[in-house]
Amino acid sequence: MADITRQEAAHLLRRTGFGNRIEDIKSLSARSRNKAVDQIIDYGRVNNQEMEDRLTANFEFLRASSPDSINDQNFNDAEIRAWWIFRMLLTHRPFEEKMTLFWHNFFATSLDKVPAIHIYTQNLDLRSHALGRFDDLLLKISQGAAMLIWLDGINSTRTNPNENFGRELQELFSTGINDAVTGEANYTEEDVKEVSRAFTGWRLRKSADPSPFAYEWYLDENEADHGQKTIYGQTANFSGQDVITVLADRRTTARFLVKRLFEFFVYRLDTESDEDRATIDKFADVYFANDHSIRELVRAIFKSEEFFSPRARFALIKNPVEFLIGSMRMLEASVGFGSTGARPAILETSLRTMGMDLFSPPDVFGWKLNDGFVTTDAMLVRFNIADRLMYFLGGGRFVKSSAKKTVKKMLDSFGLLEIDSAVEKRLQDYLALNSAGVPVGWNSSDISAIGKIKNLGRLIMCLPEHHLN
Amino acid sequence: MKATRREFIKQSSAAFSIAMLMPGLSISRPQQSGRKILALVQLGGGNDGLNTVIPYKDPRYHSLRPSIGFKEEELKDAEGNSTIINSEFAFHPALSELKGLFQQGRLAVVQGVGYPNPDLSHGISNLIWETADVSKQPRLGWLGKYADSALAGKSSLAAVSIGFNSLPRVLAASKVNPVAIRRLGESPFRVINAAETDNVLRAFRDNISREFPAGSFLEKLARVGANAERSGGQLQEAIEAYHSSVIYAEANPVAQALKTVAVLATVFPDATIFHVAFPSFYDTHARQIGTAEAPRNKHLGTHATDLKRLSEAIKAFYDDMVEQNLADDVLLMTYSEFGRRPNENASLGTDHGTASNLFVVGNKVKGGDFYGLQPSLNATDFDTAGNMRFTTDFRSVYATVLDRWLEGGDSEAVLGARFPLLGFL
Repeated sequence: MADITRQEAAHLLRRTGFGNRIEDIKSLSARSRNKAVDQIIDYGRVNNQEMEDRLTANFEFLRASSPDSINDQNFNDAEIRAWWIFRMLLTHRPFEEKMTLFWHNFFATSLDKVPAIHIYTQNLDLRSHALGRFDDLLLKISQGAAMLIWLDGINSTRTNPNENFGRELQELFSTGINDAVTGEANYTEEDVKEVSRAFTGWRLRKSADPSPFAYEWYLDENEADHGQKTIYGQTANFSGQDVITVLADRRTTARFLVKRLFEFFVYRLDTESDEDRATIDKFADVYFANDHSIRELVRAIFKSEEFFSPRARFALIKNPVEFLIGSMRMLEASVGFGSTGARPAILETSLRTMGMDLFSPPDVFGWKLNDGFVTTDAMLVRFNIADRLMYFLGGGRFVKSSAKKTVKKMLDSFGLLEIDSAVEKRLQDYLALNSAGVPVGWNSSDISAIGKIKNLGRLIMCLPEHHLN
Repeated sequence: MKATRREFIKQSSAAFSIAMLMPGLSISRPQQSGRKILALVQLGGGNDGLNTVIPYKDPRYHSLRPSIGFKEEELKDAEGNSTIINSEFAFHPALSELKGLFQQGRLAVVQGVGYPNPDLSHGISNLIWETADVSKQPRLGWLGKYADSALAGKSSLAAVSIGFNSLPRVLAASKVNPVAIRRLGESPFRVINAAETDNVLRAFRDNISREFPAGSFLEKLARVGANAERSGGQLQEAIEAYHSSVIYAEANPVAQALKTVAVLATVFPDATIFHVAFPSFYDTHARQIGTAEAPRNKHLGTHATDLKRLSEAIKAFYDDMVEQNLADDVLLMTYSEFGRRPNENASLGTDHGTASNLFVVGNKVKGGDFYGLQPSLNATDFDTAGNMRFTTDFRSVYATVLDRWLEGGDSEAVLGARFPLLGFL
C-alpha cells in the first residue's frame, strides 16, 4: 500500500487527536495508511509515564490512598476539569483522550447532578473501556455510580419503576428512537416500561477498597423485579444485564453507534442517501464480524476510503476542546499547572465560555457539535483566546527572513492549514505594515518583529479555515 | 433595504461608531414605541404542570400524588401567604411573584396544552414544539418562519437566542440569521498589542469577509465570526447604554437571561423576538421535592428552586419593562416540551408526561384568568401510558401569538393551517 501523504497524515492526526504538529505529521509519513492508523489506535504501546508522573506530582487527589485523604479543597469540580485538560495537553496518546471525549459526549453525565467523585471515576471507566466490547462499556457505565445517580436508577423500585434510565438507555445509548437506516421505530412506550422494570433494584454502595473513589453496584433483591418481561416481542425474566446484552446485539444499535462515531470522526451522514445508508451498514457489519469490538470498528472507519475521501477533509468544525487544546499543542504553548485552587483560569473558563464546559454538557443529548458551537459570543471568545495564547508565547522560532517564509512557517505550524493564496498574500502584507498602517517591508530583526509574529498567529487562528477539522 | 454583507463590511471597516457599524441600527431609547416584542422562555426538561398550577380541590390529584402533592394547607409561600387562586387552582408556593402578577391581571394561565399522539422523548417532543409540526421532521422553527416573513431586512439583533450552546431550532430560519448569545459581557474583539489594533482589525475583517459557498461551514464561521467582532463592541455599548434600578439576582440564571433580553429590547429598536433558555432541573424523575436534610419538605427541592427562580426572574423582568416604558410592548410566554406523569413514581419524582400549562405575561395580556381546560385526572381518561389527554392544541397558543401579537404574523402561513385562537390576547 502506498505511503500516507503529508496531507493525509495531517487529516488523520486532526481527527484522532488534538492538533497536528509538524513533527507528528513527519513521524507518520513513510508508512502505509494502515500502519499509520494502527500506530494511533493501538496506543497501549505508547509509553505515557511522563504524563502520569507530571499529573501525579501536581494533583494531590491522585496521591490519595484513603477516604480521608481527599477533601473539598483538593478534590472538586474545578480540579477534575483541570486534571482532564492537562491530560489532553500532555498525553502521548491523543486518541485515548479523544475517544474518552467521544464517550463523555455520548453518555453526557453532568456535575450539575452527579458529585465530582463519581464523574471522575466514570471518566476513568470511559477511558479504560473506550475501545473494548460495546457490551462491556455499556454495562460498566450503566452500573457506575455516575449513571445510577444521573438517570435516577438508584431510586427505581419493583412496585414503581423509574423510566428515566430505561428510556435513555434505548434513545441515547444504544438504538436511538428510529433505525438509522430504515427509519423504523426501534421501541414502543411499552418497551420503555418493560426495560425499566429490568433495572429495578440497581443500587450503589461504598466498596471495601480503601480508595476514596471506590463504589460498587449491587442488586437489592427486594426491589428487583424478577418477573417476566416482554421486550421487542420476546418474553423472559430479563435482568438489566440481559437487556444490555440484547441491546448490544441489535443491528439497529450497531447502526446507531456507527452513525455517532462517523459523525464525530469523519463527516455528517445523510440518512436519506442510499450511499450513506450503505456506509452505515458496511461498518455495522464490521461491528458484528468482530464481536462488538469498538477498537476494530474505529480501526475500520479510520482505514476506510470514506475517511480519506475529499468529502471528509475539513468537513467538521472543531469543538472548543479541539480548538483550544489543539492550538496549544500545535503552538507548544506551555501553561503552568498552578496549584490546587489556583489553576490557570484561562483553560477552564475559556472552554466554558466557548460552550463546552467539560463534565457539564447542556443536557442528556450532549453538546450540539459542529456549528452548534458557532455562536456570536463563543466566536468572540475564540478570537480573544487566540490573542492571549499568542501574547504569552515566545514567538521567536517563527521569525523567518522573508514575510512569505514567515507566513508559510506559521501556517505549517497550524497543522498544514490550507488557505488560498490571496489570504497568504494579505497576511504577508500585514507583516510589512508599520504601526501607522504604512507598508514599510518586513524586517525580521526589527524590535517589532516578535509582536507582529504574535498578531500573525492570532490572525491565522481567526481564519474560518482554522476552525475546521 | 438591507445592505449586502459585502457592502456591510466595507462600510464597517471605515469607522468604529455604532451608527456606522450597523447601518439602519442605532442605539436609542424608544418611548412608547408600539413595538411587539416576544420573549419565549423555555422550561427545558418537561415541567411538572400539575405541581405548577395545582388542582388542589381534585381528590384524584391527591391520590395520584400522596408524597409530592400539595395539600390545601401547604399552599403557602415563604411568608405564609396563601398561593390559592380560586376554588379549583393554586400556584406552587414558590410562585408568589407570579401569583401577584396574576392578581394584577398581568399574567394568564393556559391549561391542558399539548398535541395529538404525544411523544415522550425530550428530543422529539422538543422538535414538535420548536417546529409547530407534529410530523417530527427537522423543519424550520415556528419563530424562524415568522422571522423569515416579517423580520427580513432588520438587523441581526431582531431575532436573538439567549442560552447555552447553539441556536435552538425554534429560531431556525431560511432568510434571516438570528444571533445566538450565551451571555452578555464577553470582551469585545481585543488586541493586547494595542499599537497594532488598526492593522490587526483591518486584516481580520478582510480575511473574514471573503465569500464562501452558501450553506457551508466556512460560510457560517465567517458570517458569525464577522458578526461577533462587530456586535462585540456593540453589545458592550448596549450594556453601557442600559440603565435600570431593577436588580436581577446574580445567582439566578433565568434572571440573568431575562436581563439580557431587557438590555437588548431596551437599547435596540429592531429587537423583536427572543428565545430564552437556561440550565435547570425540570426533568424531575426523582426527588423533585426535599433535600438531604428534609427529604419530604415540598417547599424545598429542585422543582421549588426552579420555579422560584422563574417567578423572581419574570417579576424582575416585568418591573424592568415597566421602568423602561416597554411593558405594553413585551409579551413573555413560557413553554416546555411536555408535562409529567400524573402518578408520582417511587423516587419522589415524576416520569415523562404530556399535557401541561404555560404562562403568558404582559400588560396587553388578558390576565388574571385561565384559558383552556385542565385535563381530567380520572384514570379512565388517561392514555395507555397513564398520561393526561390534552385539551388545548399548542398551535392554538402559537396562532394567538402570531395573529394577535407579532407584527406581520400570519398563523396560517407559519403553521400551515388555521387553529382556533385563544382569548388571552
